[in-house]
Amino acid sequence: MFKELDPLLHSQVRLAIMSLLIGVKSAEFSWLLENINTTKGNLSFQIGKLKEAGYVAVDKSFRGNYPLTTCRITEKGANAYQEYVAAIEEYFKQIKK
Amino acid sequence: MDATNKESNIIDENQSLTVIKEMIAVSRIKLRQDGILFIVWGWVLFYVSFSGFITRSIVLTYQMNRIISRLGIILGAAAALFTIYYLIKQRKKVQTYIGVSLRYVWTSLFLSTVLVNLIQMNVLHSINFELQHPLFMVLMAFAVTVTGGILRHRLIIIGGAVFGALALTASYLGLKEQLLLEAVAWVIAFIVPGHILFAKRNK
Repeated sequence: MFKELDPLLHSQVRLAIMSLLIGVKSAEFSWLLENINTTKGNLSFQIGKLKEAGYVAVDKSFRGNYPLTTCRITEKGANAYQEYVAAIEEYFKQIKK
Repeated sequence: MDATNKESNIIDENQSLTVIKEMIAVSRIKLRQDGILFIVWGWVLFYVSFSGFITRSIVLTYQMNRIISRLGIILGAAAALFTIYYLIKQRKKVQTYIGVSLRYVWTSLFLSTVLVNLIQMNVLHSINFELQHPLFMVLMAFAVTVTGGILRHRLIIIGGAVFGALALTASYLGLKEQLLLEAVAWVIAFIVPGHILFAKRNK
């Protein structure tokens, strides 16, 4: 019996966002955009979804005259990501059997 | 990886694994230390120590001594300015725990060296350079070893340990020999690992 995968993380862009944020303290929106090949609008939309779920925290500020959006993973998000990775590992273990 | 769809873009387990692996690889490559500050400070401090050893070993003209010591000051100032420029230029779009930890290690090292001088002044009422050099070397050994541990770079850890051993050895010797040992320590703990990190930066 496979563990159910978190539907919020089981999407390409959201999983990519979480995979990048899990290893860092915080990251700017532009850095995420550089590394995830998607559009600005989609990235913003998916970050919004993760924020709504409490998986990421978003800080909005200014650098000079430009708006600066910084994202970081929350404890809830880190736990959900760990559970997701564990479920994926379990899935592959069972497949191998 | 291309994902331009605003829909949830559901993936299967294999794709999940690919996304996770790809993103971890991206982080590893992009956040790798380039070793430039190790190289810059390694060569400058090597020059300062080695030129100190040379000027104490060979009889040079007053002018020559002055040029060598002034050059050390200029190189130190240039390295400090370069460090500020580099840190501003490199102000990454991402803050890592490694970066934060390294900042604490090297800031506390700088403050510790100031405190060592102040303590020496309070206890000895003067700066005893034969004591100061081994103490600085011990502090440096500590900072280098911790840095190696944070970066998980075995060669830097070994460099830190060698720095510590040379600090102890230096305490048995006079200032001239201490400077030579210090020059060797900069090569082992800074210059060599710095060049290795730099060579590996984009691999």
